[in-house]
Amino acid sequence: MPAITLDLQEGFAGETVEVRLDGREVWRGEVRTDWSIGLAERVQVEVPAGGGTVSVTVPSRPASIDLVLKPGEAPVLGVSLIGGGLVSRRSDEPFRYF
Amino acid sequence: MTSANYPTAPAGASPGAFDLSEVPVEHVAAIAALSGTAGTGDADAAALRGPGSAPDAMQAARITVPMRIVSGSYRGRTGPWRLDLRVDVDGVRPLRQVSGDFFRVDGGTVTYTGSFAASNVNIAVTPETVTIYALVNASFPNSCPRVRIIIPRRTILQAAGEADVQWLATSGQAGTRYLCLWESRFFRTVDLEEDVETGVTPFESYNTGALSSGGPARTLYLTTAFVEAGIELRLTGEPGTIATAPGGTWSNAELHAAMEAHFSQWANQPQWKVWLLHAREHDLGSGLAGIMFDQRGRQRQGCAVFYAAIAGTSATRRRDQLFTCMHELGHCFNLYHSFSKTFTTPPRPDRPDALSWMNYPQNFPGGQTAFWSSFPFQFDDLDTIHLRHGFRDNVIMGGNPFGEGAALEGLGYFAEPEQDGSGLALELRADRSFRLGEPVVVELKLSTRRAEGITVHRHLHPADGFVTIAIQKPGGATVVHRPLIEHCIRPEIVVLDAGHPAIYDSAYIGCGEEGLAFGAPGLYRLRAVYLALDGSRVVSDTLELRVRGTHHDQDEAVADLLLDEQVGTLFTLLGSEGPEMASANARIERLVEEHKAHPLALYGELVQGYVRARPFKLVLADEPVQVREARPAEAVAMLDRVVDVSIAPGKGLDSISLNQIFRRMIAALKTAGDDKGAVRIGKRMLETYRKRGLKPHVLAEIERQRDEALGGTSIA
Repeated sequence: MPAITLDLQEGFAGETVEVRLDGREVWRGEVRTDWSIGLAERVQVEVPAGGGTVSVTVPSRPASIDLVLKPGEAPVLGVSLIGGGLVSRRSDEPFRYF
Repeated sequence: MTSANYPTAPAGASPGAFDLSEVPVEHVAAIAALSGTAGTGDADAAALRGPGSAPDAMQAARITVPMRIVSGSYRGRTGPWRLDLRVDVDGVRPLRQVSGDFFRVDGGTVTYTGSFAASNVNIAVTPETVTIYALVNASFPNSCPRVRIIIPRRTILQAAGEADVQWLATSGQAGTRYLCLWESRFFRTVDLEEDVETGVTPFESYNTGALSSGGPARTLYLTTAFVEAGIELRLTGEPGTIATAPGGTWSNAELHAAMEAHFSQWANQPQWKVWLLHAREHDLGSGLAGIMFDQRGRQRQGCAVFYAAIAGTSATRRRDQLFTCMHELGHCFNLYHSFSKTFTTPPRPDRPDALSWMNYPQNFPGGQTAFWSSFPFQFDDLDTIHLRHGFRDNVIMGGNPFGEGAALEGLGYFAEPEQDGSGLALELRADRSFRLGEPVVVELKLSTRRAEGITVHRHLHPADGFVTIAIQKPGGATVVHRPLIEHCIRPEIVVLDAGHPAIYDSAYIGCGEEGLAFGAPGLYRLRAVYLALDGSRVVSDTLELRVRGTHHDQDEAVADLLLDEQVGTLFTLLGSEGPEMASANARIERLVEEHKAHPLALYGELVQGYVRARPFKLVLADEPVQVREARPAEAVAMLDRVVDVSIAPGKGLDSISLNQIFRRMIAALKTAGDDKGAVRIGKRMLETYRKRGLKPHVLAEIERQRDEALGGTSIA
């Protein structure tokens, strides 16, 4: 299965984040943004060739976002916690950080 | 059309952001007057402007002899205060700001005390003078928030004029006046030291006209890019080489260690010095082009650029290298990303459309292509204001933590001196952690840094009034320890030299006028200041002291008995039988009786034994003085048990307090006529300290103290 990269980016201050693929938890951890680069954690998610839904949840807020991947898609995903909610961005190339 | 982020600003770049020519002060004043954006409505400035001030300002522009710009940095001194002034009203990218930093000069020490800044200042220009009026924001309580700065006009053939700085109360009453000499056309100066990992070719320069861009085409080096921001970046020498194994990557911890090992100017204090490592690749891979990794201790002193994805000599790669270097150095100046300003303390509006070194090109509206075609290769105005005029500790490397507020080390009186010519060093020590409820005692050591003798007073205990200790609690609140009892003394003078390089004392600081300072488990941070004979303030390093939590019911019970302000008073007094101390003494009695085997019971025996070692006079109103006679045998038995515990390293009392107990025991036995007993204790005292590997001068002093306590009693 291809692995996609999910970057947990800005706004995280030690919250527990859960990552699910089609409802099944594939990753969980406490994350904190390094403000010098704007990245908290990088998670690799193996996605079936037929696509699937990657869900990112911050239970303590609560905040959640679903990212639907079509068959054959393997974008780089970025999720940030801004204003109490999760926002996402997609890129065909790895995000560059400074 | 308006900016997406500012309700009053137009869309697009800030006016003047692309202009690299020098702007005369007349033009800045005229623009301000004509556009109605002149400052805060200061009455004095308005009176000076009067009707027709705009045409007068434009008339002044016809002066044909080039005039010096007045912008730059100035320095002056009045009494113990030094003012470093920054004036920003003409020249390259004038921002109509003034700012400055105050320092206090005490003897041989110079200590930063606070900063001020003002925006959109009023400017009045005549052929003879530039007068600036401003209402400032300050980082310190300021009873004179208005300032008038008069700078005489000089031609480029003349020396720069002095800035006459008059502080004013809101009533107009004059405050302090400073005459400040011109120092530099730059607002700040930073030393840059670089190192290069083996196999990496570091960035040198880039011609901004090589690819589509905003702003004028010019060749930029790191130094010249910062000149455009008004900052002098001084290279401290040729970059050194750091040899590493091929193919290796860097973690943040390794970068920090490399900085401490290779940054020759690294110091555990705020300073205008920064380190840049040109390296191959970070552990996070080629997607990380650079990082300001220094986010512990004295932060923001170093950064790194990774060439795995940006190596090469093409225009694109050179542009990426320049951008990354400038971006990371911007972080060292405590600049956050343009799109993350809301996460700073205090929060500021995000600026995702900022054309600044601090943005991410890919985050710009329209993406990278739109960014690069408009980017003028500068910091935007607000970032530039921060670099030039930010409060000193918010900008200086090693100052405030990245994006966060003030730390203990920046706390006014306890701030480290900028310069320390005192010749003295103060250490604050605690050689172990403390249990909850345990009396917190710290050791103080004052030593000489000079080979020749230096005269000092020997009073290190805070109760004597020459040493102050600040305590930052685990939650961040900071208190200053104020002893319950203060001694008014005539200072005793000693000379510290090679033969006698240091003096020592210990102080119980668990309870003061501020109450109980160590009432919760956690990490505390302490700093002390010693006031020397010449007025110098000698500041210790920060001591981190841990108070451990309770693990057993008995620990809780003992802590409950000891965490009481009256008990804290009892420890301060080292025992008292006054009726007002009855409840505290009852708690101590319970500690000794019910928790005899607990490690903290020794403190109960300490205060009980200490007070029994001497007579106690009870003075009550309308009653004759009652004297409880000394009970030396009882006292020595109790204090012997305290000594038994404390002889083991890291247990019981600190060395200095133990010394005091030994001498108390000797005195008690001598008073009781038991000279043999007194000599026995004296021998035990010396044996104890001989086993501790102390320096010869310390042992000699202990022997002298022992002999003094024995007062002529034969030791043989």
